[in-house]
Amino acid sequence: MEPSSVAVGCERVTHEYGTGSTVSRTVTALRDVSFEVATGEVVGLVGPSGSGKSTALHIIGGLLEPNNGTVDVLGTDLTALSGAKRTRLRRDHIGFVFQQFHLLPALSARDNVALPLIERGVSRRERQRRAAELLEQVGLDDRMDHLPSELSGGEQQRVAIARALVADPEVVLADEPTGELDTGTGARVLELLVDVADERTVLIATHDERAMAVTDRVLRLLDGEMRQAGQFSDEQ
Amino acid sequence: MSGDLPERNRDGPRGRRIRRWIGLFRVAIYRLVSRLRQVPKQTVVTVALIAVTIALLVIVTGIAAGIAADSADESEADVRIVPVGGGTLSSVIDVENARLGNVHETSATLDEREDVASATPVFVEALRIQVDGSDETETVLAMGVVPPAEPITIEGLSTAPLEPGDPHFANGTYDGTRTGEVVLTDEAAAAINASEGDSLEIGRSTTAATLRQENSGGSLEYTTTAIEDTETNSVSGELPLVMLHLSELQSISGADDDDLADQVLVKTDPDPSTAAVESAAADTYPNATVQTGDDGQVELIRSNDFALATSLVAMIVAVVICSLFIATSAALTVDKDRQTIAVFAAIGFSARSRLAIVAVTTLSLTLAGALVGIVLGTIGTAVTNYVATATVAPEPIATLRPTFGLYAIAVALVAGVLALPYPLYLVARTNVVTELG
Repeated sequence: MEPSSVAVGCERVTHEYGTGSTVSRTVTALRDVSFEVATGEVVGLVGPSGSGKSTALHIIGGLLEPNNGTVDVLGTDLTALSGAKRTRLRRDHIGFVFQQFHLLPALSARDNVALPLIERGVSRRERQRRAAELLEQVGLDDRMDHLPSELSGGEQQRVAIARALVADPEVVLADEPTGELDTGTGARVLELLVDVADERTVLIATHDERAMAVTDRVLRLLDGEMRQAGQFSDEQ
Repeated sequence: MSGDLPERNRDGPRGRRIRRWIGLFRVAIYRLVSRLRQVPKQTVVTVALIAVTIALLVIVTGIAAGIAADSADESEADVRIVPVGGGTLSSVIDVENARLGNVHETSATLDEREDVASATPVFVEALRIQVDGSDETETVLAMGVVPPAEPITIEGLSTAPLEPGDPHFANGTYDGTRTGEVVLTDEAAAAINASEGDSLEIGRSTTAATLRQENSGGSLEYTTTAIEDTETNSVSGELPLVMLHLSELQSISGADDDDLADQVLVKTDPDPSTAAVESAAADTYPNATVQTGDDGQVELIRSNDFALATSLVAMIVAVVICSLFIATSAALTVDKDRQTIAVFAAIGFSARSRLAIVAVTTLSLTLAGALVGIVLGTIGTAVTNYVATATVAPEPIATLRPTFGLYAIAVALVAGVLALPYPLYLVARTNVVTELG
């Protein structure tokens, strides 16, 4: 595969909830949204609740199929892929960070981080090694064997970031990663995310505009439509 | 801008796939442990219900096997020929079935084979018996046999006291010498106060007087040749039973027209090479059923209709109840675990892997219930036997074999597999986006 300078591209993407159901009323989450994210770029997807940020991330992550438009991730048109192929693409090339961390409560921090490697058939020893390495990078080398319930919110989110990166994905999608954290902790978590993501493409959906200082560019969504795009400095 | 991305490790070596499945198995076990922590009451109740069902299965199967063992034949036969429609009861004293005809000639044909040590027809009839001159008449099961030169045991009674062959048959004329020899079980002897050497009157008449008349009219004379103490494990150990020559019993019963018998018992030589004999027996009686005397409890159960029916009902009930428990419990768990399942999907676990995790969790839970059930069933069998022997039964009524454990596990796993579609359906329709918010 030829490396593409555009990691993520959406073209006239429209998505409505309720389509195809017996309920006649539909809600338009995204309407004719088009944007591109370059490889290695850190982009903030900003907007109030219900603006369509999460929907956009879910579509880019292959969790949702848009009603219209095309979505290109690393040169592959997601809308042309089956559900199984989208799952495989997620396994190999995309990392997810969620607002509510979604760590498995009975697994240690290290086992939570190692989880995505199971599906790739990585040996347990290698899984543990890579998980430990990632936890060290996010500053949790002394918390590896702790259960999620024994960690603070910020620490749990750092574990979630490590889990998103353990399979070495090219694209990281973070959906409201600071939503459950106080402002200070949230800012530190975002800095860490961008730092450990290194040269990866990162899309961060958030309504916390102060946290956007870590991004290269901001895409603003309102009522499912793209309103404004530009450098974060332009927003000031 | 579209194209196919390289899928890392998709077609990796076999080791990778094995590691993946081991990893998924570990995740499934994690789910089970997690479930035990999160909803201990529900998990324990599910395991307990499966365990109780399996325990009952083990106990009922043990009782069925006990019944089958009680009615098992105490005969030295490797091959048995029974009429079609004659049931599958193994005991030679099974009565009121269809019968085989021309048995002297056909059993003689089999007897001539080099690999057959002996082949004897067995004819069973309920008759009245009394000591000559006594008024104590008793109904007994009379068993007519053709004693081989080398004595054998049939239904716990040895043919040794009887003269070998069947002199009265006399090539189908029933005009040969009557030996008048009768072997009694100790129960039969006790029932009519008979001792060795006593003259007996045997017939179909129901009263002492008519029986005496029946014997005098035919100038019949029977003698108690031997009284044998039989094993209590056989039916003959519990019922009064007598044994005499086949043709003599056929004459008394009116079965001499067609030379009838209930079955033919064949003892092979060398034992137990039964295959060729089984084939020859099938050729000799093409319309009959040929059974071999395989050992083993399962065969024992299969050989007894009632026991088979009991164990079958127990198995079906166990499978149905277990399936319902497991399906309900697994569905509740999947419902509680929707977020976890959604996370698995989001981090790239395929639909097959997600289903496998839930399936392994469900079957592991079932296995746990089965293992506890086997322990409970073992205890339950012991308690059942204790209560039975202390109250109504002279000996334990239920048996316990190692194979029952494997059987119980197999039944539980079948129930688990049958229960899987519903929780798997719930997994498949879990809305990942909704769950992840």
